[in-house]
Amino acid sequence: MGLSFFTQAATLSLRRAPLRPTVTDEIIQPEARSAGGVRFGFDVYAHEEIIALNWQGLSTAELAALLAFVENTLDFMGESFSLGEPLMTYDGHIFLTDDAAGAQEDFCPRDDANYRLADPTIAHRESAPGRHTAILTLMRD
Amino acid sequence: MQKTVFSLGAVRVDVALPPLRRAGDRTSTLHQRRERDSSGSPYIYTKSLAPRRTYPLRLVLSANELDLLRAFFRDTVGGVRRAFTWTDHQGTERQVRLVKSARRHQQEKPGRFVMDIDLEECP
Repeated sequence: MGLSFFTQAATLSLRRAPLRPTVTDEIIQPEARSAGGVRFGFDVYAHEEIIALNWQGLSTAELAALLAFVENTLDFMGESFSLGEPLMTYDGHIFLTDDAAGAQEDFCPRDDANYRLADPTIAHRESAPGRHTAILTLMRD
Repeated sequence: MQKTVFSLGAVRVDVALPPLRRAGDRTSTLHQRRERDSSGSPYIYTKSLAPRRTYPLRLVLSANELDLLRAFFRDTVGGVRRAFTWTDHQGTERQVRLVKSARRHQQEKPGRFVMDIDLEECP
């Protein structure tokens, strides 16, 4: 059970899967409020789906590998990638994967589309000696 | 059994479970600016007499309700573009708009999702 990032050039596999992701539906559209307090919203220009992946308990080596992958292989937002894990199936809302005991559990609420970093930032901190939390935000490419 | 209902025209989305943050959690804001005059005294500009009421809701949704509600906010309502009708679990109807163009949701457990939205009552 883990998560793999695939690009044409390289693959990064982390043994630890992130927590259940937070998904933000973001609509790009102008909006304004008049001096009298009346709100105006204009037509939708585009949609974006921003997915925040939050890892907890990454080892120092895994964090270093993730940082190197994002900085050198992905060039932050520069290159798209796909996400995957062996034995993964998609049920329309979430990924399902088999854990070590053979039980099916949910993983990630998306299909196997291409993704790109939505923000050229990785937020990480050491939560305990040798253990790290890290947050990546992705968008569908 | 009461439901929370979002509707616009012929499109209607029912949410079976009551929201975790209920309709009673409300903020009221008057659109006005505070400045200081040349002597340093406060000077308040009142441009609107209608307070703006905002309702933060945390909806508890099934996977099907999540799909329908995402499509409703994206395609039918068009983000902050159009006002729509919100009927809360007590049966009170309000004309509202989304406060923000972005809505966040997360899976709480298998088959159960939570979505945070802020609704602004139309004057």
